[in-house]
Amino acid sequence: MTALTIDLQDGFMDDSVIIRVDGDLVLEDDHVSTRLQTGFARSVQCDTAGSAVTVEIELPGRGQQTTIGIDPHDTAYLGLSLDAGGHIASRVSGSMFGYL
Amino acid sequence: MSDLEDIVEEGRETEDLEAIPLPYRVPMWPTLVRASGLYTWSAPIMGPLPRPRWPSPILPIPEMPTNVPRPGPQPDPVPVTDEADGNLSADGDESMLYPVWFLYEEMRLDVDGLYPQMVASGTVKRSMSTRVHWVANLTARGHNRWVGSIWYKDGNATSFPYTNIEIRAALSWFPNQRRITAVFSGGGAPVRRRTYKYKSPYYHSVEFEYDRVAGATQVSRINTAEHPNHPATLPTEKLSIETVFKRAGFDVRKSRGDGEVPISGAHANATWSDMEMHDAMQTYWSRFRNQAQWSMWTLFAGRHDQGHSLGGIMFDDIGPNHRQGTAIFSDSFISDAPAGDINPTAWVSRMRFWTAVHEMGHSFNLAHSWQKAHPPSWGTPWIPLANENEVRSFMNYPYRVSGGQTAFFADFDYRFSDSELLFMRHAPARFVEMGNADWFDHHGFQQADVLAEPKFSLDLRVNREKAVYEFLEPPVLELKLTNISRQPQLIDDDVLSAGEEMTVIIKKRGKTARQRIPYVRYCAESPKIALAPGNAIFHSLFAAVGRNGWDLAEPGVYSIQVALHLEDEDIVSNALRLQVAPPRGYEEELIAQDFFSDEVGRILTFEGSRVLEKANDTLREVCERLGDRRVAVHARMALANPLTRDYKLLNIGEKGTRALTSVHAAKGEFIIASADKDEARTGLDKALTDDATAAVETFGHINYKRFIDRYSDWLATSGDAEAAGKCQRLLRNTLAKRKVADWVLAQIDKRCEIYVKKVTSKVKKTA
Repeated sequence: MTALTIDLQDGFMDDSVIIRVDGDLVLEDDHVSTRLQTGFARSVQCDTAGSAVTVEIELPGRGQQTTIGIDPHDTAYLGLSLDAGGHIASRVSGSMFGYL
Repeated sequence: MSDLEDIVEEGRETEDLEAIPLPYRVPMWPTLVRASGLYTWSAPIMGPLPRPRWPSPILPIPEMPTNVPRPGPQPDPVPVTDEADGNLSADGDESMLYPVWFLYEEMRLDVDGLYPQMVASGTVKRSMSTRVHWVANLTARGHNRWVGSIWYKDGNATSFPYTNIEIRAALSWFPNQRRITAVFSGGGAPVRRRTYKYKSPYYHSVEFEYDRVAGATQVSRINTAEHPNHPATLPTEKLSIETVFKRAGFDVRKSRGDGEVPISGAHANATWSDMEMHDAMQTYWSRFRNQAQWSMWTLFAGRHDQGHSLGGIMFDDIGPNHRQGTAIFSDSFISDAPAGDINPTAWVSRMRFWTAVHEMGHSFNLAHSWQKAHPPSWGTPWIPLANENEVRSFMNYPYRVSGGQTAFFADFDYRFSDSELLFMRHAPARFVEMGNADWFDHHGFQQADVLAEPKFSLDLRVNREKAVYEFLEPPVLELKLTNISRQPQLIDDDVLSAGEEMTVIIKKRGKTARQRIPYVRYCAESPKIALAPGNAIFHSLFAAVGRNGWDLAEPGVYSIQVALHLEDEDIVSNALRLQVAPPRGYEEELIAQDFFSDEVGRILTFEGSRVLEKANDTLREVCERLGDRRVAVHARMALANPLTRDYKLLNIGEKGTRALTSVHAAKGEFIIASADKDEARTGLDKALTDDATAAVETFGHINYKRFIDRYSDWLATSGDAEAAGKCQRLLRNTLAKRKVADWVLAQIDKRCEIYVKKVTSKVKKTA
């Protein structure tokens, strides 16, 4: 089993967020807000089988939805943000994201 | 500019002497003398200042202007020559737009020195409630001469119509001889000329205070060359946090020596929550006050509740005054040097230092470099900004740039970006000052010139556990002015009650701040009183309504702040936060439509009327239908009070209803409406004594005592001293339960004695 950490980062303003990993619900939160001074909203961890997984992110309040495929062996950390236009942007890292 | 140049120019000693590396750059004559810095102008006061007959017009603090062009290279304005004196106004010329009681102006000239922005900015202060801030880009036009366009204004912009500026600097080796002369033109106004005197090489002053949690590591100074990954041009030096901000343009002082915070301040697992840090700030920061000030606190701690991933945070985004505290967590990812790093110890030291400056930058209201262009829901930038995703600034994350932290530090000069320096040096001070504009918001109230060592403190408070008011209940606040100096101070005995020199600003969350304009200002000869050190005077403040309407009416959260203008200083109170609850039902909403009227506002302010009958009917309806609400206490008081004595009414008959008819022509006359003592007593008993707890809770201690004193005096003069004494005993018991000061209870005891003597005397006479 490989741990995958999904950080909700910039741009969330009291948003409803639903995240599924390989179809399994890992997060459903109606009030996700970014702390602007750190660029971090909240984090969720889940265990994966270790091979390529599909992460589905849905923001019902904004009508946004996207699907990302990642390999947790290489990229154990997934960062999700909303850009100025309200669209979901992602970045991956092999090491933990830091916030200041 | 090196530390040595600072020392020579200012002629003062600095602790940075030991930080000067060898060999150091020897400053070359005459480049030591810079034009940049803070300059001031103040008008001589030739006599009594003219006072407006009516309060100043309402000047809501404006939202960010949307039609101001982005700053950048502007077409050069036509230079204004000063050779033809007839075209220019001399300093203080009354042909200028500003009237003679203009008192103070500042200009910040930023054209040389370290990281010059080629900008001038200024603040024109006309009174506590009227000021305008402007910013201009500058282009050099010859020796010590610059011209530019004014591209930003904030405040009362209509009183400052100028669009162009020309500046000439007269420099000198001696700071007190330096001058700059600015000529303002354009905007359809007569040309205006000002000569400013040099005040400081810095643009603002600020205080830092550091504390460290036992066991955590504090890094406030590093050797810039210790880690080999740095720009080849980076000076080798022992760089302190204070020096970083000095180079940004701030006169940095430490407000106190560094101290240690016991770990018991955190919860059992020794990690820190924001609330715990906020509590520690209030306990350990020597400068903590609920008000805006150029002062901040930094805590070096171990770890935050969020865990290893949080290296630091500006935690102070709660309460009425944001951005006063930051924390750096040494037990976090900032202490994890990259695998294989050539000097992990130096890497960690540098990262901790960088994080400290980064978090302190947030206290100056700086956003992250990639967050500057954002939707309005995030907050209001002071000017349109662009993201700086690759900038080498303290406000960017080193690992976010292309090439990661290695690329970042290879090109990092330990500085803020130009746009950040522009903000820190030249934005309206209230946007930058700690505790002023909310985090990520440029709104704020800074209308006063507060001395570095004020003689007084002004507290704004409420006499209840939580500042939460029922819908329709008008908030009654209390002011306390304390002499915090070591000498007795002379003040007008009505300095708090006259309202002449007081500015009250009320801001509902999510809305523009408003200045309350009182219904009346008292003009009287005020005797002076001497306030001994440590002593205070008190007064109640009925802030809910004024000539410009009801400002504390709608449900919501409000922030209220008061500034008092004394002879030689301004005193600003804490920002009081209070909440108005939503209506409990339809009935309250219906009555509110008539209650929040100008007439009801006047009746409540003046404590009654026998003329404003429509408003009196509204208050009677409040008593009937909302009898158990706190607003009914106010209504009963206002209805009963005018019945206690004969009342002079001006009767002008039908002829007076015609416009522009004199009272004499309309055969007007004063008639007397008789007192109705029985109804007055019934009403005042209901308002003040039947439920004393509810009455004191809503009126506040000062007003409740004043009303009871007035009522009991009225009872005594009406022949019922026994009832008067009973009122005073009730007052004493009620206030004693609320732990009012002993000297107040002693006053009540004395009054009781007077009434007892009256009763005794009456009994003797009867006998």
